Amino acid sequence: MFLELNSYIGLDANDPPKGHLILATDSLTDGSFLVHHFLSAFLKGGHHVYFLALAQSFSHYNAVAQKLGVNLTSARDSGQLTFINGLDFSLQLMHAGINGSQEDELIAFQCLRDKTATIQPLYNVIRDALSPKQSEQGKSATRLLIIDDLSVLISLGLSVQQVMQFVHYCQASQPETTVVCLVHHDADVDDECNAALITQLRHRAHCLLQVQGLGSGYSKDVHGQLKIVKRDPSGTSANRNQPDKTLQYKILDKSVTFFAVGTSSAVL
Amino acid sequence: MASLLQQIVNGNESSSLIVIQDSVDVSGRPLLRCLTNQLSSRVDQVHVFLFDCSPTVFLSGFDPAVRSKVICHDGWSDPLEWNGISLPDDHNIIHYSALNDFRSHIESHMTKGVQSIAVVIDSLSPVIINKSVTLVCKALHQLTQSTDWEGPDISEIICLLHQDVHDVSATSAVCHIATTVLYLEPYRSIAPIQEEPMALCELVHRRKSGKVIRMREGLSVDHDYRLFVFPDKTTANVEVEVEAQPDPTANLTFNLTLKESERRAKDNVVLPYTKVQQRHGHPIKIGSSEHSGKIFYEPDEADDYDEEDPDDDLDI
Repeated sequence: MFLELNSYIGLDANDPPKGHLILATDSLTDGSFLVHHFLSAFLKGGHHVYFLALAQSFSHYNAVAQKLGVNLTSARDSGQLTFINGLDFSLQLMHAGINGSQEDELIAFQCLRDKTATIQPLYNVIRDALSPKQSEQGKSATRLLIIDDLSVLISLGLSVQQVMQFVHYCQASQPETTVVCLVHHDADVDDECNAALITQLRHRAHCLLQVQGLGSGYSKDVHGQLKIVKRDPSGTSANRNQPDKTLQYKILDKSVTFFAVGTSSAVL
Repeated sequence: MASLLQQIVNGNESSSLIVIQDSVDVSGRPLLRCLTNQLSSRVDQVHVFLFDCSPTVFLSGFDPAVRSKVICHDGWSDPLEWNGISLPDDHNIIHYSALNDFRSHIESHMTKGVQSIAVVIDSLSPVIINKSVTLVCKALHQLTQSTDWEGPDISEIICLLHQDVHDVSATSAVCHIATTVLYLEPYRSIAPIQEEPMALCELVHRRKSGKVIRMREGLSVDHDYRLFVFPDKTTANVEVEVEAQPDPTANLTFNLTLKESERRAKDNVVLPYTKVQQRHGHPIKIGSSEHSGKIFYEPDEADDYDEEDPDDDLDI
């Protein structure tokens, strides 16, 4: 968890905004540190976190979270964290291909096998996880849904429309839940799907965190830059869009340091 | 004269179908809310179709007086029927599978005795993506043409369209049937919104007479959904004073102009070649038919002379 980042984004980890969509994108570098940040920040804040992991396994996230001072295993056991292992879904898809007898049960990525199917089964998994359990009713803890990452869905062969439908339902069915999702889009690759996905998501996003590699190439002391764009998609507040913030960062062993552009200690 | 944008918003300039085109950099929703607010004071009911925004979010921030006139058609909560259960809400839910036009939805939720209504659609983009452009254009056209429509007057239709999620053909198809298109562009500034615009708006308005007006204006919308219009700086400053060019003849050591006496003396000078011409006795007159030349041309066998095209310049 990087406390510094919270203040730059304007996020209060104890009282996070409800129903917001936070979109993280990365280009020519890895933005997954943002996912780890939100995961640990919300768990430390005592909120419920629902994590749809499509990119990495639980042990990976656990190892990183441990460095940031959060124990995912105990969080999962106590029910604070609901970990949905998205890697299994691809496996299901393969098994379903081998023993086709179990046709009756819909698998999450049914739409990859069957052109007429929708991505509804994947949403059902999320919905079942998000539906308030008996023990939790009455509590009004903020809930967070993290999706790491949506580009995997695109890579698996889903269309932008299907991914948007999925995100829409995640948002619409749980109006109080804050959604964080990561999308990869490398600026040097002509990748229309991810670009279109980002554009559509940006229309709904309250906060866009754009992680970019440096234009000048790899640097040992500056790992990239982060652009923070805040918007109000509902159009209810009458304020001017806040000016975008651009920061550079360096990822350290257990934390990330942020500094204004061009003020790295190695440069000055 | 009040600005055209202001006139359109407060209804002095009639426009049956207004399309607001926004992008990720500038949201058209504040302007849409401002228009909705204004509309509610002019018509009996405002039918709002919500595909991009939940009804609770949309209604929050409006006065109760406005809210009482707004009827939400909820295309947000369950457009694909994945949840299967209808929520116990007063907002009527739209499913894409059953969405063929907007008019039948309005009809089914019409209260009697209503004289005039307006339609607001926020936004067309999900419908275009999940259904098709053709359907949207047809449905909008059907709303604007009220020949076989027995319900109340539809005074105005306002749609939001995210132009950067569609290809050009889709957006231009929608804009073709619109009477007014507002293209929004971001305007970066840190001044208060009452002093500097939030966004610039390129406005194309087609009057009933057929006149097409193009304008650029800046706009801001404040908490109470009041509209502030600013003349566009780039066009307003066109009449820049032309900087006075330095006069090169101002401080010369010699004289470039003639006095009257000097001019008379100059006019009296007989130019040298005039004498030569007069010596021959026949001053040459240029242009008189008598002395000008004439070309006689007799076509020979090789010439392909065409009477209809004597100088052979028509490409037949």
